[in-house]
Amino acid sequence: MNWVPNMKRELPDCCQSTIAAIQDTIGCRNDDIFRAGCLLAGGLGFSSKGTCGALVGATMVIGQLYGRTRAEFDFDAKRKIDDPDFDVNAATKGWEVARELYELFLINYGSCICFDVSDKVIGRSEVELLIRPDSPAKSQISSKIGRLSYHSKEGCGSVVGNAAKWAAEIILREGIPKDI
Amino acid sequence: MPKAKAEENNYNKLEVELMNKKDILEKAYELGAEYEARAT
Repeated sequence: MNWVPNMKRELPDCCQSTIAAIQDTIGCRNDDIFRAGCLLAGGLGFSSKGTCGALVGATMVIGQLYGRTRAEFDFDAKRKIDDPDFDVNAATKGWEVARELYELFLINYGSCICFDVSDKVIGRSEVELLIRPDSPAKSQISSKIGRLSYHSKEGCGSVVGNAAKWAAEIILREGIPKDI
Repeated sequence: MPKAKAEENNYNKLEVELMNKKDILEKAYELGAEYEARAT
């Protein structure tokens, strides 16, 4: 079930691609956020079992813009939740927006899990994952199973594109913070 | 933040202000698909 060897030949990264696309479009480039996204591609470490890297990347940029800062986190922890001055909506704004992205994935792909999303767009199957990368039979995959390349514009590239587009739409609606 | 990066961010922010929503969303989609596909 390990397809990392194939990935090492191509070096794609759905999470970083999504982060870069949103940051370049909106004008909020941050290389620390970009770097942190590297390990989350392909459902975390290309495991395919975790959350889609494009969704994670989009959520990370949303968090960069609307998430709680460390100072706010420390400050909020000292306050009581029933304090009339505590703005719970401001403290949890990022959660609401992240949930919206998750819902968009559910509506469009039926799942937020890497394997399910890529299966939806390129028809990846358990059979294909069982084929060893160096198997002589591997050459028949394209003819027998007939898949798009994982990272083509029509494959996971379309998922990355949609994640970036949906995040950009949310950012335009919510407004771009001035202090980024 | 390094000066060049800040200038790039400012340039992109200005561009966002000048573009209409449809073009911004198209740019986000195209960049995402391109970045993901260019490694292969």
